[in-house]
Amino acid sequence: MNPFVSRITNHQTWVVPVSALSLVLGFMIVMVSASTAPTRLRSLDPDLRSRLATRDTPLDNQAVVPQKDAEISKLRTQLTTLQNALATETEKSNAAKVLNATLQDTKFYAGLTEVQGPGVLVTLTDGYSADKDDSKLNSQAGDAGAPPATEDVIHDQDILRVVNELYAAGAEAVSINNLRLVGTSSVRCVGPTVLIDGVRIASPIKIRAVGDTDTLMGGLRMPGGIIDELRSVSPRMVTIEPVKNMTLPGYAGPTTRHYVKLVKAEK
Amino acid sequence: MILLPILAMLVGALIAFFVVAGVPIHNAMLAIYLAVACLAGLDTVLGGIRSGMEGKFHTDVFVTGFISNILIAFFLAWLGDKIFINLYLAVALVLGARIFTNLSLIRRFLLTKWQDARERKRLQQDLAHAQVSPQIQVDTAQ
Repeated sequence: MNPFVSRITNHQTWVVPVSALSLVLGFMIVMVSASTAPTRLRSLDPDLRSRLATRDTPLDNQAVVPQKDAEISKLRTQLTTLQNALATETEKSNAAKVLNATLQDTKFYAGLTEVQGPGVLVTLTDGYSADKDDSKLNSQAGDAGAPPATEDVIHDQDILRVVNELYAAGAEAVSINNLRLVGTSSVRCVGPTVLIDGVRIASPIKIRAVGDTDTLMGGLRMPGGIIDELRSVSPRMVTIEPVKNMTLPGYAGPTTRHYVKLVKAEK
Repeated sequence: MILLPILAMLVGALIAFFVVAGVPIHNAMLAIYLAVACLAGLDTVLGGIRSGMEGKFHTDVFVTGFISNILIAFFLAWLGDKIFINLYLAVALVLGARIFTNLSLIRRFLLTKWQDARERKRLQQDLAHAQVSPQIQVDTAQ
């Protein structure tokens, strides 16, 4: 007879139930700890987390996109030229001119044309790229006083808030890294970069806005605003400069429509 | 015999590790409830070991205690969340204190048993030593 078994059955009646339930307990503990494995970035939303995690991914198809965009811009400029030419060609009728003027106005409003004017240039830079200290990302401890790794990165929200502020201060045309913003534009983050209308951009992010320089500067410098907030993290993350004259490119993205049907005006 | 519950816990942990590891609990509060429930389970198991060593173990008391403690801890944590008081802290505090008490009692018991065993062994050796010479005499006499 196995002495082990006999010992249990004789006077150690507690061992078996306790063991059984401690098996359950071990199961529970691992279940809880494994499924809530702490990550220091848990408070971030998943999108930001993945962006930080895959910060070093190379930007693929970076070469193709600007090429195609340039082509589109060129074609659209050409279209404007041709429309103007057509209007001047048929100089006899005033109607063509008026129509063209309206057309060009609408095209400006849609952001399809290149525009010029005074305004501001806001440059947002990731804090880390300035001091070339990528190890700060990995070591949570870091040196005392330095902002946490997640804070000195330019997020899509920062860009959105700057753009929002610019529009609120009366900006008439805004571009981010030479990508013109239009009504359907989106700013979101994927991986280590920010997507503007599906085009990847990365720090430094240059936001140009055409409008009244003083009003725009005033809007941006509002206490408690986004610029204030970014500067409090690291002063070198933001620079604002007034620009006397600059050229913003036209929107180079797609304008095809698949679902919208135009409603005909009633007679 | 105290090794068996520890071994069982490791087995359970391994099973969980291979079966459910990586299934995320999306609700952060649910994770806290479950953690508190785990604490209650740990307290009950340690209490069971203690009472077993003291010879006061009853299977029915132990099993119902295990289940009800887990449920109560879970419920208190949940309730605290609902009424905006961090009751799970109170649960964790009480259970933590009880775990300490149970562990110290188990330690004392084991220590006493070990000392007793040593003492008994020494006494037996003394006794055997004392009995050696008469036994030899008896043997030679036959």
